[in-house]
Amino acid sequence: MPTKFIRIADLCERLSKITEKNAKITLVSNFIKELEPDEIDVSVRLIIGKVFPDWSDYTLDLSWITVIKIIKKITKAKNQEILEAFSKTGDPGEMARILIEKKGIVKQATLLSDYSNELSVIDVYRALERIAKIKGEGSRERKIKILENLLRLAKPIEAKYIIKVILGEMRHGFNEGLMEEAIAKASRIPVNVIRRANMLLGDIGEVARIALINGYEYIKNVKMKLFHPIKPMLAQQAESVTEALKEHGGKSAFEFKLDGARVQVHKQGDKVMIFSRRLTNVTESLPDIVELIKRELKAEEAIVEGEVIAVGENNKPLPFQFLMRRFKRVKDINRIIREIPVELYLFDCLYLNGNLLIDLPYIDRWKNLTEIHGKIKLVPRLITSNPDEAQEFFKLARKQGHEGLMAKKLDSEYTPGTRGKKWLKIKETLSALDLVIIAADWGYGRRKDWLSDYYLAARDKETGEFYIVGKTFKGLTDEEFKEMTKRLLELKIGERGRTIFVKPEIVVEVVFDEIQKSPKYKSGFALRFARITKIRYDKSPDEADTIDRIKELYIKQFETKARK
Amino acid sequence: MMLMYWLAAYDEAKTMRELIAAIAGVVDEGNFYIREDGLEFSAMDESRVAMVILKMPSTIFHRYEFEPPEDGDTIIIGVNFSDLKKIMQRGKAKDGIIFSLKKEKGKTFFNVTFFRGSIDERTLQRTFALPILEIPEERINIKELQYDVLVEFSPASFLNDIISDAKIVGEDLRLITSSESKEMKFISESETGGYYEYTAPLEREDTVIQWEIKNDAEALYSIDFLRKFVRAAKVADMVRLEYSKNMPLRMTFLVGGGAELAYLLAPRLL
Repeated sequence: MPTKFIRIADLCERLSKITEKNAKITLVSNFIKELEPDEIDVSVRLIIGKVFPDWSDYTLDLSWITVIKIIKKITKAKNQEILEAFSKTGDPGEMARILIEKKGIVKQATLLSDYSNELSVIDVYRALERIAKIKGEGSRERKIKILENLLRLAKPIEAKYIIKVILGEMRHGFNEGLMEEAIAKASRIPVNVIRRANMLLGDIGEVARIALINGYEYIKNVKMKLFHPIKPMLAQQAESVTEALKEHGGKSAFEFKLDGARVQVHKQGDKVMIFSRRLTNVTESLPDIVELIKRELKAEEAIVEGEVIAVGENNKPLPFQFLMRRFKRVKDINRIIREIPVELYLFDCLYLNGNLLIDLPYIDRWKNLTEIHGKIKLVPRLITSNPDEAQEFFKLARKQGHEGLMAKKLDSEYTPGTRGKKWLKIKETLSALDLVIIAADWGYGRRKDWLSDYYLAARDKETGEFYIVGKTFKGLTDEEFKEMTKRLLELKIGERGRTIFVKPEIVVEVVFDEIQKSPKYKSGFALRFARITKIRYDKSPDEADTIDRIKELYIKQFETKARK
Repeated sequence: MMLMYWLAAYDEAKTMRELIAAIAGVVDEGNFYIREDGLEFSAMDESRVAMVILKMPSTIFHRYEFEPPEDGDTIIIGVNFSDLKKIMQRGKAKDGIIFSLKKEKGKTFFNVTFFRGSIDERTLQRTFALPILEIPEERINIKELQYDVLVEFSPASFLNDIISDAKIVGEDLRLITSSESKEMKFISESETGGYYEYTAPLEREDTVIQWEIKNDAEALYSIDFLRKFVRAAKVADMVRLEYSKNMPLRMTFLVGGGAELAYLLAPRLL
């Protein structure tokens, strides 16, 4: 019997009401055990809000505005009703549920349905897959038609979760990490084996299927697949080189932290693919780097990691925004190659000629890299136990226009997808936060045509909700205000007076003088003199800093300041 | 080796142009199944709500030549309809048209040739070669449907005005037939109470060719799709409607010479 989609919707609804972690895991573990073999990958991904494997090129390309338009069309709701439904929870899926329940919709059957009008998990997946496959002329209208007819067959609670999946905002506190635990529990396989398989395959769905159907021997021996990107290892922040040295037991490898875009390069013979930090395939934007890799990388098969930076006159790095223009455009690429030349600096090697290197110590991986890099540059690096030398190196990086340093523990293995202290980033501005814009006010005077005053929010790790921690109108250029206004309007959910509310999507780097306790904001904190230092095109909202991190910094500031 | 060969010539490029346009409005791509006795095309729209089925017997063409492929009796050709539609629009009023297949460097092309004069003495000949697509065959499991209501209208454009009228008011067209009053009603309603109704008396011989009501039936269908379907009226002589409550509607356009273009449309549920 095919599993009905409503069972996934009900499961997610229950998950959002349970707070206890183990109870959530048990619930999901029991659920996935009952699935038919060909439903496992799809269901497991859908539960955590993913339609496709991480390595997949498929994207739905349905914007927030498009989704609202469809809901408006099928429910015939008025703007005021939409805003009311949205402001109750701030959740687009819940908004759809409320509106469909209140207004009712005319149900549209499909020719494939048995006219009993019930969606199966596979029905939903196939429709989303068809949406992703549509490219080119008129694609928006065609995508809309498929989604509209899918929602016309959905019950209110199903519509809620279809929309949540599409927008990637499950907010039920059940993330991929917990899913790994649920798979472990359901298959009685140790969770570290499951996690490792997930790192290597980049598809939690496939991991679940192998674990549940084929068992331990198979899941233990899964091989990484070339051209399926591995999640990058992430770094925590350190306040100084001294702190980094202390954390790493007295000695670290310090690398320049370049102000560019991190890339993972896969090569097999003459085939090269390049993935961004968010595992998007950016090969077509970087034909010059592809050529460089083909020509210089001395390996039949390899995965290497590096940073691509845009360079201007005298080889000085250009601001990050210039580089993003390369990633955004595929058309006219030859002209852009000339206008925005880029350079690749390598810093890690994860796979070489059939051997996975991620379990080797950092120092050995680097050695492998030095043997194959040919004429491709390596990031400038210094191994030292001397804090003064490290500080000089930091100053040199800053002087040359880079962000700062990365400190890497010499004997550390590469742990994909996890943020630990084995890698530490050291930046000039010690307390910078990545925050999400969730609302904005229209400006005054010269800025009257721009949305120029931004509400900055941090993420609650448990619920995935965003809470305001400050407001700022400082830090952007006129050009950036214009662009930001355009982007915010595309994300608009509603408005009240001079304020427009937007879907949490844009991440900005923010510096400030101090964190204060605040009764005004629900988060409990307020940033004093916040200003934006950078628009983080490369970060998604779920990578923004958390309320917990702000709390940490709040406490930390009393190490150097007296508590009032 | 002369295996797998096909040529079909037709005097009026215009009729073919309208047929292709009427298909392209609903589906983006699909497979032609070409056989000795004619060709068939069927494909579902991307949302799986509608389907189009074209049948053209070889006898409708002014010339039809066919050699089967080595491994069967059917040539399957996948075509992108928005591309084909653009080519068809280049046909002029007095043009004739030839469809054929061409193999070049191992690739097969769907050739569209416009010409003046007769098929044997062609002038002003222009040929477009359309690369063919590999479209996975999707076996569609649609049960043989039994319909409660069948009505045939003539002219084929009988429904066009009704559907255009209804669109002004609402998004769904409600069909109601009654064997007692011998009527078929077309109704469209708006959210705010706006209303449109047209009643077709089934006994009128000038517009209704034949009718049959097994059970009285009321059903609801998307006007957006119906509007796309009725484009086909331009080249058809009559249109047949078949439906039952909460079941697909079948709208068949009968084209002179034995060709037919049929649409299936899944219902909006009552």
